Amino acid sequence: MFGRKKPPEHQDFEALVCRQENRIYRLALSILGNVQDAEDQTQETFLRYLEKRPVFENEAHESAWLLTVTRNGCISRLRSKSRQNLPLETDIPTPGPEEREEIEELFRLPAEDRAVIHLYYYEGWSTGEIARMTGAKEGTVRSRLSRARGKLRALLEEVEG
Amino acid sequence: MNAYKSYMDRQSVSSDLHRRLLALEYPPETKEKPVPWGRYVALAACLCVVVGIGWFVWSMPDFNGMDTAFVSEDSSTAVMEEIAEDTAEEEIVEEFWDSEESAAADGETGTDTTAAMAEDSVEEESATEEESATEDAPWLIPGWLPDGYGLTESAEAEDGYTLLWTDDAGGELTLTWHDRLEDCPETALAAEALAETDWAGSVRQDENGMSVLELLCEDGWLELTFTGDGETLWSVAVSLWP
Repeated sequence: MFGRKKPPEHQDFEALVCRQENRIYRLALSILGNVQDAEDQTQETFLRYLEKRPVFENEAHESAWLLTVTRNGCISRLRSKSRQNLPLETDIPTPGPEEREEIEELFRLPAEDRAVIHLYYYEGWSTGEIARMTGAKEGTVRSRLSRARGKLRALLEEVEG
Repeated sequence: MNAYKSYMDRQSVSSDLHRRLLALEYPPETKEKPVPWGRYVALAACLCVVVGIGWFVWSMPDFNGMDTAFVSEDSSTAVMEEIAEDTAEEEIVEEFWDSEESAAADGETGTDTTAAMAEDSVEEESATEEESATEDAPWLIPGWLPDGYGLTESAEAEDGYTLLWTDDAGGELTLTWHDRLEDCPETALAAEALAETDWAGSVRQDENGMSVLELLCEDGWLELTFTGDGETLWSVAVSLWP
């Protein structure tokens, strides 16, 4: 009555951590905007990996799976905090002087928009790949990206103006 | 976005976090606690008392329904009855077994009684299993979900619905169900994140672009079966509480 996949073979966990820890941490930091939360989510992602032990076809598949779990975990974490009426504190490492304006404005965008921006601009994912990850339609991703860019542009123009 | 890229390139996990991540694979062994022998001795003593009482009660004539063994016009049986009344409890028990053996030798219903008792115990076990299955039935069985799927939390119902949040590799799912069939959507659609299924319901996108899966519920239990490439990926029984 219940179908289940066969358990995957054991992979070299240490090598996986060294390969992916920074990537996961950076995405978590971009969404959560908080170093402590980003560290917690990074740990949670690897715990989920150890629990599920998925088999990856290649490194791209590996990255996609880990980033998807990270992104979903971050969104859940934010929703949970919101439902509990807990404050969403931004606590990110101080950017350099040339970066400050852009970074500060970017972290004023909604978390979902920051996730899309990070995956698109930093990780180099296509809108189709982002759509498959989030379960949204590609048009939705494109409009979210466009909206985020527009907001960012407006915020930067306002600052400069 | 160059500033963002250069900023993110500088962000990396601390050495402390790195160590913690590596340690996740092999959690530290728990410290051995001393064996609480006193507790085990007390438990064993209680168990002996309970078993002894239970054996004594079970071996009583009225409890066994074997009192008919004493009803006899046979003089030898009458003598046995007198002896039974005057003797200790262990002897009464011996007479019970003797009566059963003689009844069996005579072709009487000694084995029928044993069979009836066996049937009773099987029925009792089935009832217990059903009860425990119902009590233990969770909303969803996380261990049976495919890779990347899991449960995060649930929320209280509004208007008779209950929301169940999930995380999964293909996108976030919100399961809702309806306690009135006429409220359910008409057709079933397949979302990109899911393979074709044999459930009745629909998938729609909410304002955040999230997939929302709505299911039909007829009974207290619903079986979800997700298929892909012509084969069943996984199925799970979901117990839905109104």
